[in-house]
Amino acid sequence: MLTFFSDDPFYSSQIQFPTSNSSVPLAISDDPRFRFFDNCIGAIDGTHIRAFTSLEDQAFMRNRKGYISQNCLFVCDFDFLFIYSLCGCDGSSADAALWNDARQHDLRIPGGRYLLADAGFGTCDALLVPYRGVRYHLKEWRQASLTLVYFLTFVNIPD
Amino acid sequence: MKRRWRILQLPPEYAMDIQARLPMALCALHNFIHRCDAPGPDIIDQDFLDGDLPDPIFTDDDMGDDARGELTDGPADAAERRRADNRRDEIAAAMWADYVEERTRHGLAIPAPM
Repeated sequence: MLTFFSDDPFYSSQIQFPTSNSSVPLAISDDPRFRFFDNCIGAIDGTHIRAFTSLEDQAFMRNRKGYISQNCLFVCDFDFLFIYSLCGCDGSSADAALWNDARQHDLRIPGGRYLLADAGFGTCDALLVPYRGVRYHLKEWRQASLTLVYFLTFVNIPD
Repeated sequence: MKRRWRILQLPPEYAMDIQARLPMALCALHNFIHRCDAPGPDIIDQDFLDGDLPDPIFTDDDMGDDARGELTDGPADAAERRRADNRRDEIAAAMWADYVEERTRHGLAIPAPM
């Protein structure tokens, strides 16, 4: 049963990474607020899932939060569907290590497209990460202003 | 995910390869439920009930290596990181320009960049 759900053909019929031919989801292309992100595929993050391991493996599987876990990397798109998963990595490994591993083996990202990630991933062509040390939640958000101003505080705008 | 599926909250006493398959299987199930359940409970994918799996969204024709993109050799080098940083700056600059324009249109003062 588990093999059925986590293997071909069911898994690959449900979890597919978009290609450069795939269209941008309507939620993004239809919303003027997101027009700056029209090459974005989705968002990526790692999560720790509690695991049960043998005593000798526990050292590798213990994560920075202190419990035994496997580190899993997930990518989801703007329809809240998973489009990639990488599971079973040591709990002690960092998100960036998983990312590099995935990119070298089976995570193909169409040229020019990128994923949103948090600062735990380094910048690279296929990721858009936030600026470090910048407060992102501005008061305009509370006032429901039209504009998104994520990055503005960090940029030197020429006069 | 972790809240939705109880098996992810406590460590299951299976071999590690089984445990590694669990989140993958649940992701696939999540997508399946999301796709089939979204319009309403009466529209269950009839193909699936008949024994056929839902059609893949992409056919093999779309899956040429060009369309799928490249794998990498290793972590990003300095040039790639700089390129990515520039792209981020461009997006930010475009947003800032848009923000200024929006404020001007509404006759509001433009805050100085901090």
